[in-house]
Amino acid sequence: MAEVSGEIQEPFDLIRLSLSERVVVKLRGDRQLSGVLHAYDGHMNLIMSDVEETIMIVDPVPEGVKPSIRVAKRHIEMLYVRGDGVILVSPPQRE
Amino acid sequence: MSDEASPPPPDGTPPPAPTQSSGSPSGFLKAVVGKRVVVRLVSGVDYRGVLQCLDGYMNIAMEQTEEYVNGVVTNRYGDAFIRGNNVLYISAGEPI
Amino acid sequence: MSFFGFETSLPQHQDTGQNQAFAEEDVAVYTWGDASYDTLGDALQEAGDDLNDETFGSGPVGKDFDFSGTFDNTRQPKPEPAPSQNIPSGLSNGNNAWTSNAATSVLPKHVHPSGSAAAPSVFSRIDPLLAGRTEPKQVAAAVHPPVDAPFMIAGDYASQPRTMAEIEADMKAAAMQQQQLAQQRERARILEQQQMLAQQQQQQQRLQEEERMRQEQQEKLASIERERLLQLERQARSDPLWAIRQAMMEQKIGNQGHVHERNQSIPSEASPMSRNRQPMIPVLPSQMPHAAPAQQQMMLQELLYHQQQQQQFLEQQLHAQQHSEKSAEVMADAQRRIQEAEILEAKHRRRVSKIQSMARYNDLMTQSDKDFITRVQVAQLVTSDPYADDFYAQVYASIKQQRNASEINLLKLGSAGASTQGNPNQRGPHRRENAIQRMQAQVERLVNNMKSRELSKEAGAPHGPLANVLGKTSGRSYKAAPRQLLQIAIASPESAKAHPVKEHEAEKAPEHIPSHGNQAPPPFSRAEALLIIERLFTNILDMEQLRRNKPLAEEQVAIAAWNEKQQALLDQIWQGLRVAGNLHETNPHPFIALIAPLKGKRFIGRLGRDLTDNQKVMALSVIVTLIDQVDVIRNAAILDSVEDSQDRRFVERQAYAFQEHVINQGLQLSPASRTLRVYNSLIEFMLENGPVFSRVMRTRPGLTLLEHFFAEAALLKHGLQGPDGEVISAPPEDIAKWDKLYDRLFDVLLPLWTIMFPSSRILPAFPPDSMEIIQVSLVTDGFDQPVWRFLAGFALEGTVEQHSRLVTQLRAKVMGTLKMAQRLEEGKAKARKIRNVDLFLNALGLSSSQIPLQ
Repeated sequence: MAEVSGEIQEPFDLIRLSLSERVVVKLRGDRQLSGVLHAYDGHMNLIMSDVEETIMIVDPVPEGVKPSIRVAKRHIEMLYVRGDGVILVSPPQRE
Repeated sequence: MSDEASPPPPDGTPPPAPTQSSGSPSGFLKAVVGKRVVVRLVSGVDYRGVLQCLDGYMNIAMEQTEEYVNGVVTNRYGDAFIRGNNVLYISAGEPI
Repeated sequence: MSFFGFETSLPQHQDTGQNQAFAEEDVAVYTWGDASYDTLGDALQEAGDDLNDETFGSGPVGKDFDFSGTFDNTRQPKPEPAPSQNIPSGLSNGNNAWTSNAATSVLPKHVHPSGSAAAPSVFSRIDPLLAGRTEPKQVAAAVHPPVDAPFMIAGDYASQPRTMAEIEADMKAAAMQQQQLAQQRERARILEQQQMLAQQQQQQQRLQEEERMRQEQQEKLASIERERLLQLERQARSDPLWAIRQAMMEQKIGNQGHVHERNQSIPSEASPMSRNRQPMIPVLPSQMPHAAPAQQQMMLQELLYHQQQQQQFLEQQLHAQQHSEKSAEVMADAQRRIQEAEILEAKHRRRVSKIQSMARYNDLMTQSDKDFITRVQVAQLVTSDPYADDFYAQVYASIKQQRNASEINLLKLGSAGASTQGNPNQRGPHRRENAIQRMQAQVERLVNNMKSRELSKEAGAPHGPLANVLGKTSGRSYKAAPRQLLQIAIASPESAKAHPVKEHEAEKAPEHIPSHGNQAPPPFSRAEALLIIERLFTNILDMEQLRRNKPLAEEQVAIAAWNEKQQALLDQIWQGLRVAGNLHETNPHPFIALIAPLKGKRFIGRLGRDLTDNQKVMALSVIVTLIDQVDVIRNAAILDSVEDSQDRRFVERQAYAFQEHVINQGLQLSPASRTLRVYNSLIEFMLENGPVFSRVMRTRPGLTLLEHFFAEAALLKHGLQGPDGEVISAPPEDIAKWDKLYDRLFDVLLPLWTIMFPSSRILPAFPPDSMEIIQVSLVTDGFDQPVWRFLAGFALEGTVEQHSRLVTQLRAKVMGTLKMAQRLEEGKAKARKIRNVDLFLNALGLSSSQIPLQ
């Protein structure tokens, strides 16, 4: 058997190494999640716990005015994320 | 959020024309692995960084990733996994 | 055989010539079974159709089948004037038949209620039980005992479907009851006529006499009327019809009076004459035995009908008068015809009643049922293989094939020539073969697809063992489902090695400086460390699986192979941990880097029984030697904060995981290997780091680690209780070394003790003697407790001289803590402060209560 290497050989390795770690997930609809990743599959369906969901709400403003962005947050203990809404997953950034 | 509306990123020189990619899409993709790339999503958001690897679903792993919205850096990620269905194109950010 | 009146003889396209002609057409030809006629058709019962007409009718289909509503749909069967039993009477009584029933038969549906007037006598003749005085219930019981309620005429038929016999019985019973009622009603009048009527009916000769008498009467009538008619004719030649009607009216009036006389004189004459009037009686509602709303109309109809009947009668009278001379033979002829008509009429009525009874259930098939059948029929028409869905056809075909050995080869499916071996003329089997072949091919393809999918899943697929752990989510129903866009060979390790990041960082660290690893390059990124851990996790899962599948002890070969496998896995895990190797090649050391993530620490915790003690000691050595590289030591400063933050919680978790999973679980030595020598050397390793050691001692995780080693060593120094109760002491040379090491440690630690207390690092930031500092100290007391405990344990090993040095060194700390406790209210917080101090003082044989405080 080959020696256990740490090289990322395919994109899913990046997700795999984030198992049971805190990850940032960017979703469609200006949503972002931060939570501990517990499981994933090839569709990027995710199981996450201790999740903080951040929703960017762009309030409609007249043309020309800089749009103000409100941020709504909520906490979810355990979450199943359907893969088709996932845009980006970023592994933990600690250290 | 049209492609034309987003100005070129301020920090980078315009990507050079691919000179010696092997003449097929997968040849190009093999050539850009490990290089700086710009990944544009269908939403118009750009990700600039080093292409770690990618698979046949166009899922992409990048490092030193910077997120550009309308030419402005909006986020930085050490590593980033981009789900393939969102990818519009991958362009080389440095000579291959 | 006529079936429901449909023509059953199909167009004759079954002969071979035509069949071949059809073969060229693109039209489905239904030739089931013509290949080998199984003579099933011959087995059809062709006999016994004689009663079909009676059951289903023979004439043209008329309004009888109009169940939609023109028919009286009340549950009550139509009053039946002439049930089957009455027919003979009608026949035997020629006059009755001719005069009343003949007229009735003109309007079959409009039943003449009074038609049953003659019935009692009929019954009395046929069956004495049915004579006038007999109770209706007895009659019914006699006729048809099984029927529970034979006299339920209106409304309360049993709701369940009934057999034909029951329906017939009901009809009979209903008719009989009606007759009985009519009989009761007319009993008074009939009573005097009954005997004579019976005689008349029994004796055919009497009939003729009556006929003769009647003719005489008619002749008399005729002679009376002749003159008037002649007058009338003369009067109304311009309008003969009017004149006739006029005459009829007059005649009717005249006749009535006349007939009354006749009735008294000749009772048997009652039938023709009285019947013309009797209708008036049942028409009256009060006298209707079971007047239903629908019968109102019937009454009107009957009024009309009776008028008509009277007219007819008068016409007949007229006719008789005019042709009296011929009447004898004409009568005979007419009677015969009327009898025939009567039989037909009776049949017809029975049929109508039956159908009416049955029609109550003829809507049981719902619309969806009909639609279903329509769909089936349409599908049969549209399909290219009409037998594809026919279970019985398929079963039949397969049975036939099994029986016919020569055909087995024909149906070797998938072989290209199979279908051509068959007789091309046998289109049916040929088609079936094709259909089955197609089906077989499809199934084969499906199975193969499934197999290959399973294989690709096992062979690993991007997400390996995690595929479908959450259930199958395959399917292309959604556009965002992952789709393979192009074939890309997974990046080869070589290309990954030409990694710009690594190159950059390698450039940044031009030279290796072994002694101070700070500038050595990291062995791998954090991401890589995580990935390595994940792969090691896979290995350990493999091994756990392997252990579950351990062969029995007797199977030595299998055991050997199993051992080999296990050892290979263990080696792989050990290699993967990267403990061995140059200590200072990278910073941090690969092993230290691997245990940096929480996941790495937890992973070490699972290796408790997979690593040898030797390997554990090696790993511990790496940790203590390079302790300043360990993440929890490096990040420990954040623990010296009383403010809660995410970072702090993170490091707390890491510190706990380091001590618990790495030191206490994963790298815990087995009792056999726990020797004083091992701990001596581990403590020595820590001490040798000089400046690093003093820094480490100011961290809670570092202190905890030292305390752990110290406690083990102290225990071993005093000796362990062996299995037989004897004390196993450590080797003397190790004890000697330990004593030296302790003195050295004491000296190194003595100046550090004060600063080793977290409170000493935290509290100076707050204004002294404020309430705030006391509040904060309540928090730091918790942090301080392990230090006090360690200090107590450490002091226990010391000499008296060392004790006094400790007291001198720590006097300020002790006094400060006690002073702070003094300012607190009595309670848990105060007690804890004092308890902390006493931990140390008690070890020295002192107590906080002995210390005087100003």
